[in-house]
Amino acid sequence: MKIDEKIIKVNLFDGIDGFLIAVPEIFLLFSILLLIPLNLYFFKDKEFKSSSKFSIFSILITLILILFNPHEGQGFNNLIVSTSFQKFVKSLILVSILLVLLICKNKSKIENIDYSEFNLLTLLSTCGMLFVVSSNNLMTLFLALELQALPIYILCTLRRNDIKSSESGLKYFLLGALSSGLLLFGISLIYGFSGTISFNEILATNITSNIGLSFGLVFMLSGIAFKISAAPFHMWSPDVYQGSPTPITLLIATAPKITAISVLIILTYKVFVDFNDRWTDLIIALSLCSMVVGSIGAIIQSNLKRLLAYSSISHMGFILVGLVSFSNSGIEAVLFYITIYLFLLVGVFSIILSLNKDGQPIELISDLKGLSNHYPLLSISLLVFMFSMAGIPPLSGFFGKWLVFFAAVEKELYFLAILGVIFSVISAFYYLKIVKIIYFENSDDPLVLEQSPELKIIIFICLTITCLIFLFLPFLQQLIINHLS
Amino acid sequence: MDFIFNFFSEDIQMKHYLVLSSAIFLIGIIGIFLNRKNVIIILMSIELLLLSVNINFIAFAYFTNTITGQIFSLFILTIVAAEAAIGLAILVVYYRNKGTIDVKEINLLKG
Repeated sequence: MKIDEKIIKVNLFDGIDGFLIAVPEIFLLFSILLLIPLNLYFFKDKEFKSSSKFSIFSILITLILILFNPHEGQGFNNLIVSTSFQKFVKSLILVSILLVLLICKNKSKIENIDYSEFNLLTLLSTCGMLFVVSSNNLMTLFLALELQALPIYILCTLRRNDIKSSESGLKYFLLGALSSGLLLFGISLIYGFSGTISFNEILATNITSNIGLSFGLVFMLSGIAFKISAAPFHMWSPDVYQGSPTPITLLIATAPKITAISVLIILTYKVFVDFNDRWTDLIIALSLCSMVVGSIGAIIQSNLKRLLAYSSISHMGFILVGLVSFSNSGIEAVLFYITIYLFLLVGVFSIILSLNKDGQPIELISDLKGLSNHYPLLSISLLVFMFSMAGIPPLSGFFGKWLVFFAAVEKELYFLAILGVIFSVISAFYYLKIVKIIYFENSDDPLVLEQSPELKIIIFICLTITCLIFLFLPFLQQLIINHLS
Repeated sequence: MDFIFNFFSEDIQMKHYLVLSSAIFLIGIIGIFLNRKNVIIILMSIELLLLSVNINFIAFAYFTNTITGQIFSLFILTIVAAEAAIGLAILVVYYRNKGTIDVKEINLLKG
């Protein structure tokens, strides 16, 4: 009887606090529940447009709730946690989802994905991502990761009469399920050998070497490496990027990766701190593999989205370099890198989405031939994005790589930093190849440009951030440092 | 030889459950990668992966005297059911487009 009373007391005190911490997520959940009947009964004529407006609005309110929520700490019996780090990552995720929804609002018709389910599934997946970031328990983490992943499998298959789309969805589903199996096996081993699944308690056990826990950690890391598509767990990403409709490729490339990287940061820096000499070796291996596969694999690609998939693999390699250093400057570098990488990807994808050829969305790199003759401004923006991805100095990509390698050098990981620079140079080859095709090759049948005002504004914002970030670098670093403490 | 004999003759302990669940997990992974016939078999292998974890959780819950593992295994069951439903739905969409679910025929996207 005594134990029961204690549990009830804890629940009462935790419940109110936890409710206030989780207000943004709860709001998002309720707006999803509201969207289902609205889709069914009220948005009759313009189903997609109305539901898209509704979801953009609800994401905006969630973002505002997260930014202005003063409550921090742990809630729901320590199942979820919210600190300034979580708030930063969550607002990053919501910004990326917001950009994706704004792009899709006008481009869904031509991409043939104008089903109102698109918005519903995106919101559901977003809710999963928010819970992943704020989870403080292995069970919450697993459930939220599944909530994040399952709607995305469906989104890949959304263009249901297209065989490529359904094949990519099938592949993503099979490999994603395999990855969640690996993750789960790791979680079970960690539970067995530490006796708990709560992050606080795992940290408090202070076990430094245990064969079972190490095995569990390896399984968990490989499960998460699947999600961020780090080599050798990258097999799904080129196929899925190529096959899915382009707006959904953008969705897959941004928000879930930010989520998975934040999970990696939480697990390595806040939970398995005592195991740092074990996981650093693993992450060094993952990062080297990703840099090699990403840089070499992209050279032979002819499909634009496949090339971007390989480029994202190599970017994940660079991000992992920052993670290896196991210092505060490392996390800063990683967060800075994913922030600018998000805007780069959104910029490139919105340019790809605004072009079409013979009424079809462009697919191959050679489709970009002669872009500079017809649309000089657009080709300059694409050039800026490509240079920034390659890491050419005044642009944002350079500063990301610089901070990441600086963090590695500070920890005397010289070989990793040198190899990183070498592979960064190799990967510059295929970015410059695209620039060459835009500027020095001509084509007879011209591309058609179709841009809505939203798309123009988004490209302009991404361009501004890419070009002028060096002016705000100290300010941004200060912001991220403040969010970390 | 002695070790193997002991393994089979002594009372059931934690290690027996671990060996069983790891064996099922391995069978699942091998089933995914060696199977060249049918996507349904891959789906069954994924079920094996996730259910082998359940054995782990329940055995650990029993031997560490905590209830967390049992609750976790219930949650896993629901997730497995949801995943199977979505997987079969995607498979139906794929079959309508392709006309076959042969693993060898899933080769449209490569390079």
